[in-house]
This record gives sequence, C-alpha cells and structure tokens, in this order.
Amino acid sequence: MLQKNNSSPPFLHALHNYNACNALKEIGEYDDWVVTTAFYSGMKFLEDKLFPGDYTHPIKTGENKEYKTFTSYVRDIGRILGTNKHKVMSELVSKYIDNNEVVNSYEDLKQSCHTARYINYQVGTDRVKLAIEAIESIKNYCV
Amino acid sequence: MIFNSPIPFIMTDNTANKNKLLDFSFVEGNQLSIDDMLEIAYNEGQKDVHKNFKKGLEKNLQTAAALSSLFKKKLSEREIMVENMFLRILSFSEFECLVLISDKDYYTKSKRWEAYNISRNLNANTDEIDIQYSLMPGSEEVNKTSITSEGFYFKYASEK
Repeated sequence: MLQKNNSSPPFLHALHNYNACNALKEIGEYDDWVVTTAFYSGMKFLEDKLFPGDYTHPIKTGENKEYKTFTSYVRDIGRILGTNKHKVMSELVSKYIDNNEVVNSYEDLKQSCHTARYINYQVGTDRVKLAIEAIESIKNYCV
Repeated sequence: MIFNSPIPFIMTDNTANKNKLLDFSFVEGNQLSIDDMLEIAYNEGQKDVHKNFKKGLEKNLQTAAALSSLFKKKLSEREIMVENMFLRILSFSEFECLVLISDKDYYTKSKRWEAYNISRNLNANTDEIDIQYSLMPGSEEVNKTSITSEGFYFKYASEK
C-alpha cells in the first residue's frame, strides 16, 4: 500500500483512490470500479500537482492569479449553471503538465472511465490493463 | 400575460383609464392597450429567439458533423481505422463524438495517443463549437439503448 508523504487533501484523496484501485484489482471481480478508481486517483494526483499555482484567469484575458485550489479556479469560471470539472481539469492538464506521457495517460483514464457507460460497464481485461498502466505513469510523475 | 416589471417611459392615465406614452396618446378607435401590444411584441420576440436558436443550433450541429468527418479522415491518413461514430448534442455549442476504433489500433498506444493529439488540434482550431471526441475500441459492443438514452441520435453513415 502506498504511504503518505504529503498531507494535502487532494494527495490524500489520490492515495485513497489508488489503494482502493489496487485492492479492487486484487479481488478481480470489479473491473469497472478498477477503471473508475484509477481515473479518480489520477485526477486527484494531478490536482495536487497543479495546485496551488499561478494561472491565467479562465475568463479575464491576460490576468494572472494565484489559485490555491482547483475549486477556486473553477469558481472563477463563474458559470451559474455549473461547470464540467472534468473538462476543466483536462484542459489544465494538457496546458500546464509538460509531460506528454502524463497528459495522454490522463486522457486514457478519463476516456476509459467515461465510455464504460456505453458498454454497460462490461469492462474487459485490456481496458483494465490500459488503466493500470496509465495510473502508474501519473503516480510516478506526481509522487 | 401581465407585465409586472415597470417600464420607465410608460405612464398610465388613470383618469381615462388608458395608457399613454409620454407626449403620445392613442389613435382614436384603437382597441389595444400598451399591455396588449407588449404581450404581442413579446410573443413575436419569443418566436424570433426560438427561430434564431434553432438556426444557430442547426449550424453548430452541421459544424460538429463536419469536424467529426474531418477527424475520421485525419485518423485514416495515419492508418487509424474508425469502425463507427456517433454524435450527440451537449448544449448549444458543445458536442460529443463517440469514435469506435479498431481494437488493433486502439490498443496500440502510439496510435491512440496520436488520435488524442489530432482531436486536441482540431478543437484548438475551432472557435465556433466545442467538440469532445471520446475514443473506444470497436470490439466492445456498444449498447444502442444505452447510447440513445445518453442522446447519441446521430450515427455516421458507415461505409461497411
């Protein structure tokens, strides 16, 4: 089991999901949840990597600002009807993570998790393998 | 429909129980009040808004379909085989294209990641709409009821 070496809430959440992912993989009967927990682990590892950070304001062109958390960044998008956080995180990852393997691994996880609904969550071993490789790349980069 | 919001330049002549508009009064014999006229204008305006919305959505949908076909073409140029595509509307200017790729190509990391790059470039060069390309392997049987319940009502006219 991966231990804590950082006490930020996103990092702890990432570890929690990563350990859940491995435990579910060991059980071998919950492949859809292996993919889901891998994705949410990757998302939280990258959230921890990206925040706090200085970014251009998502709406006001040319304005730089320090964002302590991902939620404060999302809040500045200022959408009344809600924001697609997954889309925002994907954009941040592809724009600010300077590592193609990590950016594409995150896309692998996001898409594997998202499209599982279209196959009634009947996730096969190839998709699980892809998700595990992806989360390992992200974890190695972030930890 | 009764308009509760006061409009600053409309005054009501209580004596005559008729609406007046600053220095203007009504042409004799007119049967419509300002409320009536505003309601008619509101209804006409609603039709225009609806018409413009429909026209805009149709245009955006056409753009989404064209970009999806272009995505397929660019994948073919890199020998990434698309087996099928479905399209759905997420909002006025947001769309999702579900792209089924041959298993061999999907599970070849370099090809899958090349497809991600192509989709990013296509999106970066399009201001009018935002289209998300969701990739999955072709052998995984897409549940038709499931995808239509998610709003994928458009299927690529497959060559197969």
